[in-house]
Amino acid sequence: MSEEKEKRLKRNLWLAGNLLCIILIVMGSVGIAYAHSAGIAPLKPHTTSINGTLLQVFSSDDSGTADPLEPGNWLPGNPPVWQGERLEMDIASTTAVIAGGNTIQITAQNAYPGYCPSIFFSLQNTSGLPVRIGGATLNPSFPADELIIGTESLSAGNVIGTGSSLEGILHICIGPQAQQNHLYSFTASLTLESQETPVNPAGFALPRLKSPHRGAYIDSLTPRLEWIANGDSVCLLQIARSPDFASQNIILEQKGLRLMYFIIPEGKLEKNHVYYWRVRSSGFSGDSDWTPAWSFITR
Amino acid sequence: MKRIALVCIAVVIALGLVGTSYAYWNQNLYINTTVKTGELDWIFCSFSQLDVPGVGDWVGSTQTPFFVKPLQMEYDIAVSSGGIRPGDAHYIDITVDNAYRSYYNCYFFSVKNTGTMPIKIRETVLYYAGRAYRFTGSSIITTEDGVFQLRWQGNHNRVLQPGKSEDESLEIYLLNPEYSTAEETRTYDFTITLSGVQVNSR
Repeated sequence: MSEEKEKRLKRNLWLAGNLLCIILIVMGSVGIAYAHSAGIAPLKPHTTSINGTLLQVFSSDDSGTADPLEPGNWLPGNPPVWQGERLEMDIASTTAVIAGGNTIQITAQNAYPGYCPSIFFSLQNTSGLPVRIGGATLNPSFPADELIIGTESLSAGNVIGTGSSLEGILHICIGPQAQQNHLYSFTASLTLESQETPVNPAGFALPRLKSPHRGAYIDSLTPRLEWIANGDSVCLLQIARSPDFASQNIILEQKGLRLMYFIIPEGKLEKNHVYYWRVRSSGFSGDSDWTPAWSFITR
Repeated sequence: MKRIALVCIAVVIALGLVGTSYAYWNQNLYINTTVKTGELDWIFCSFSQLDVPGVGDWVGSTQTPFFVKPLQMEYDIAVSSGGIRPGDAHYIDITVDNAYRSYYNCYFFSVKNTGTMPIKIRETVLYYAGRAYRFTGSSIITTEDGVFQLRWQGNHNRVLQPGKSEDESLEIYLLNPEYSTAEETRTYDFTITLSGVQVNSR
């Protein structure tokens, strides 16, 4: 090999080395930035993959079944049994099938305001390690008076042990302003991740109470309570006679609040009493904790 | 050159492994949902009346209840015309002309559910002289001006399945002098419509 060729080869090697370094630095930076922004821990070597297998899926309103009119409850069993109010006729229907290893396809037909089908599914952790629900997304979301979508057991942070199953529920309720003869489509996506991955705190957004302010005196027995919560969340409100919210002291519990206020109906409050209230939100990214309780005094 | 190629291959393999191991750490479950809403609609699909042109008029009883046993006269004096509104079959328009006290007529029509969902006919609304009269069941109403007595017969709150139709009727009676403030040579207009709601409406 001539001296000239040898020099050229060394220069090429040097350039290639530099280029490789630059590529690795850029890749590393991108990776760290992504991991940081997404709340995902830096990668660690691991030999086990995260696998969830859909075992079964059920709809509360298969064809030929009286229509469900509320989210209702799924009682344990094989198959599980849905319990809740039904219309005395079968107008709409909702089918749910497993369409591939990690996809559920739900199809509702002839739906109408007040119709609330519910889907139960069982997802088994077939990984060699516990996995956790990293979060859930809904795309797109809809105005609450058209379509309300809720979940149970899909809160970010829920852990599924190795070989165990997660029994998740998706509730759909058609709102009073739903358009007639219209097709609503959405995809809910649930992320399963390693338990070592830090939880995204955005999944636990706590509502914030707004008014009446803590300890306020109010002259009305039908006051309006206001709070601030994530726009895509449904809230649960509790009003009690005691700050521990013991069940016997709860005078009102209101579920499914999409609007961030509630007017207490007549007959619930009495004059010259102290009442406590708190709110919890349930969004697609999980359930929040209860807000710290605030009090108000009627007079 | 071989060493450069080896380095490149190693880089590609390393990147692939990084991607694979990342993929190992996440899996998504997808719930694809489509919700097709139904349609709630109805129309008036037929209309006819007792007092047809060229045939003698009908008069009601001179005593209450006026709608019992109406009699047919020899002469055709009053003119009652009407039908389903062109372009919007949710309405029936009726005009009564040259009517006289005791004049009686009965209008028959059918309501058809043209939507995809059952409907409940909650009420029938009759517009007359700037007022709305609501029939929530078979009942008799006297108009506010004291001119007419109206009797509605139909099945309210009954569920009408998609594609099915149901018959209803409205009788009108122009009240007698002792009850009525009816004017001569006056034309009376009526418009009829329904309130059809979802079966789960409360």
